[in-house]
This record gives sequence, C-alpha cells and structure tokens, in this order.
Amino acid sequence: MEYLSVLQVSKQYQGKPVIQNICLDVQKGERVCILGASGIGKTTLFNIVSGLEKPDEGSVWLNGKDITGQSGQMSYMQQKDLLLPFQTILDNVCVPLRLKGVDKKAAREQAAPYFAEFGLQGYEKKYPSQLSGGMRQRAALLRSYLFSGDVMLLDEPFSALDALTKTAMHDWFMQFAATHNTTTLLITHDVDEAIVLSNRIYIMAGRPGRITREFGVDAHAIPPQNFTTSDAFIRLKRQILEVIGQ
Amino acid sequence: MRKKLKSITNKLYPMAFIAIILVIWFVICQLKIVPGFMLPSPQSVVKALVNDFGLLMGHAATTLQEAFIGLILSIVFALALAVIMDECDVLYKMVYPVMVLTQTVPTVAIAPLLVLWMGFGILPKITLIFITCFFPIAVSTLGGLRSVDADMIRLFRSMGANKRQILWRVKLPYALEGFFSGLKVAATYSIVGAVISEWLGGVSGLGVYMTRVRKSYAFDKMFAVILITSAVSLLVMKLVTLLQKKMMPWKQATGEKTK
Repeated sequence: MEYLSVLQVSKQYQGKPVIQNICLDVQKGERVCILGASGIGKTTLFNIVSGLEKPDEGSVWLNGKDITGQSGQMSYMQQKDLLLPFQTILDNVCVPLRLKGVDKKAAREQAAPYFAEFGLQGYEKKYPSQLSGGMRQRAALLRSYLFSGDVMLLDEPFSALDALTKTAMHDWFMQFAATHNTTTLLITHDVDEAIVLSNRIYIMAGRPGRITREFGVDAHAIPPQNFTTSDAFIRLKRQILEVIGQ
Repeated sequence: MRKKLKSITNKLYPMAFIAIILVIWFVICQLKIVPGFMLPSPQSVVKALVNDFGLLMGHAATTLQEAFIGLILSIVFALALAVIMDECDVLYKMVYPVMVLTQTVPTVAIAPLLVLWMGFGILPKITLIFITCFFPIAVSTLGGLRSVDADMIRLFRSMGANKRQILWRVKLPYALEGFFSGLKVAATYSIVGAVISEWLGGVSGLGVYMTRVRKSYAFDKMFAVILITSAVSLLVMKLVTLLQKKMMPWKQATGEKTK
C-alpha cells in the first residue's frame, strides 16, 4: 500500500509550466529517489510535497489523507545545512521540538540520546561553525528526524560534501534508515548516489519536468561493500544514463 | 596566550604614533613656533585637565545622560520600525527613501531650530540625538533582517513555524550583527550630537563648558574638554562592544575548528 503518493501534480510560474503531471508513490519504509538534472523542477516538486506551495493541479496524499498544501507533515532537509549559527548544535536540533511548544529542558532531554547515533557526541555545546561539513549535515539530519522521523524529504542532502565524506555519509545513512524504518523521498543529480541509497528511482526529465522512467534497485543479493563495483550496479547505471541522455 | 600577546603588540603601534605626535607638539610649543595663547602646550592641557577634573566630570555626566536617553529611544524606535518595515513591503517602499533623505539634512542646521521650538532644557538635546542615532540603527538592523537566507525561512515554515516564531528565532538573532554595527556608529553620534546641541545653550554639559572656555579663550581648557569628549565616546563604544560580546557568544566560539 502506498504511504506517500503524489497524484498528477502540475505547477507553473508566470504562465511557464515547471512540472507537469507528476505521479509517484512511496511505500512505508521505502527509500525512493528522484533523479534528474539541475533546474528540472525537482525542488518545486518538493515544495509541493512538503506543503510549502500549492500545486496548480493534482494532490498529495500521506497515509490515506489528502495533505495538499499543508506544511509541517513531514521533515524537509536541504543541501545547505541551514543550522542557526547563533545556537549550539544541541539547541539547533531542538528547534523543531521548541516550535511545537516543548520547553527547553524537555527538548534537550529528548534530543540528547540521539547524539551518539548521529556521530555528534561531545559536540552538543559547540556552534555550527566549529563542526566539519559532514557533522553539520548529520546535525541537520537529526533536526529533521526530530521533527518527523516518519517521512523525510531530502533535497540533495549530501551534494555539498567532498567525495570521501559523502561515501561515509551514504553508509551511515543506510544504517540509519534501516534502524528507524524511515520512509524517504530523496532528490539527487548524482546517479551513483541514487543507486546506492534507494529502493526505487524515478527519472525526471524534460521541460516542463516529467517523470520519464522508473527503475527498481535490487541490491539485496550483493554485499554492500562490493555493491558499487558490482556488475548489477554498472548495468543499472548504464541503463539510467541512457534514459537521461535521451 | 599568543593571541593576547599579539593584541598587545597591535596596540603598541598606535600608541607609538600618538607618542610621536605628542613629542612634535611639545617641541613646537617649547620652541614657540606657534604662540602659546593659540596652541597650549601638552603639559598645560594636562594641568587644566587635572585642575578642572571634578567640574569636567560633572559636565560629562550631563552629556552622558542625554546621550544615553537619546540612544535608548533611538534603539527602541529603530528596532520597531525595522521589524515593521521588514514585514510590510508597502511601508518599506514609502518610508525608506524618506529616511535616507532626512540624513542629508545637516545636524548643525536643525539644532538651533530645535532650541527655538523646545527651549534650553534637555528636550531639544534628546531630540537631536534621536534624529542622528535613529537612522544608522534602523538601516543596519533592517539590512540584517532582510538578508536572512530565504531557504532558512522556508525550512522553518516547513517545520510549522509561524511569523512570530520566525521573527524571534531566526530573523532577530540574524539581525543582531547589523544592529550592533549600527549601534557602534550611533553611540559615537550620540555623544557628538549631545555636544553640538549643548553648544546652543543649556546649564550643564560638555558642549556648554566648551562654549564657555572658547569664549574666554582658555585654549588649554578647551583641549582638556575635547579630550574628555573623546574619552566619553570611546567609553560608550567600549560598552557597546562589551554588550555585543555578551549577546553574541557564538562569535567568540568560532576560533578552533574540529573535524
């Protein structure tokens, strides 16, 4: 059964269609990726899914309820970490709880146990500028998780990181998503990242942006450390690149 | 430790420069290149400063009081206007150009008018300080409010934050930096503004004293009061810096970086 579904969503800005007739669905606990070039309307689609903007046509459903145009239903993380420079990491990740009306002490107590899992232990009292890029990104992810660990929208969350940090973050994220059974919808323009992180991949292309193809990723048979160099990975990557190239 | 040492040596350079100027000044007076009644010697200025110290402090207190009231009023109104202008675009478009326009009016020109309208009491002084200090604070705070990353606001909206929460949790803390750079400028303006408005009349204040000693050609006393005025300005600026450090602790913490 679909947990999150986007039905025939279209949006235009000043008479120019940006995305057209987008349909996609995500099962509970699934990691689904939208892959496409920059400027294809992926972020517009995310703004609509997260409820920040209303679509011109179509609707968004979460767990059987129409949530079109309602923000605050799922967590949304962007490429920039967007941590407040004037607050400590602990207070930064507490922000969603504080916005919900939880008092400071209770929010801190609720957030503190997650620091070890997110590799941030010992950095609770530091300011964002004192952390490395990977750590800041994990802190942003923890903040998103504390807002809603149920469904997470990730808009190119790792693309600002260097290649090595990125690989480490991928491994860490896979483990995190598995432990918490988080439903994830992810945007990326990185084919490798899409294949590594997701169960399914939607290819978005054209002007206005449309979903042109859907790929399933079956990585269960291959041990994770060999996955990126396996034949299955290379074959899928080639197929995807062909579709994008068209 | 090394940082502290560096800041001390950095202070040595301007101090050396001041010492050089003092020596040149001393020599000029000693050799009587400029007659003594026109340029008092450094030692006579110090003497005037020591002899009149109590009197000068009394006047400085008046000036400081005026500057303080004017500055507080400017801060309150400037912050309020900056927040309102940030929220309401129509008001921004209406008021902002006029605000810039008012800054082209020289303070010295309106000071006598204020005295005519409001008398010789504290009111025209505070008004003048308000007029000069309001603008830098309002403009720099507004700049800070408007420079907040739109993505940051989107993120907060996606987390269900309302306008008030965004203002208090995101915009105002972000605007602190701009606010303080405006306040530093305004703080020096407030002392200068107070002195200028005191020139035109009043019972007490550094400006009043300045006019008195100028009229009696007591140039040593004149120099002494100028020194005190500078010192008072520096003191107010130092206070602003201390307040900034207190209110923006994250600026101090950015030194060491961790992996």
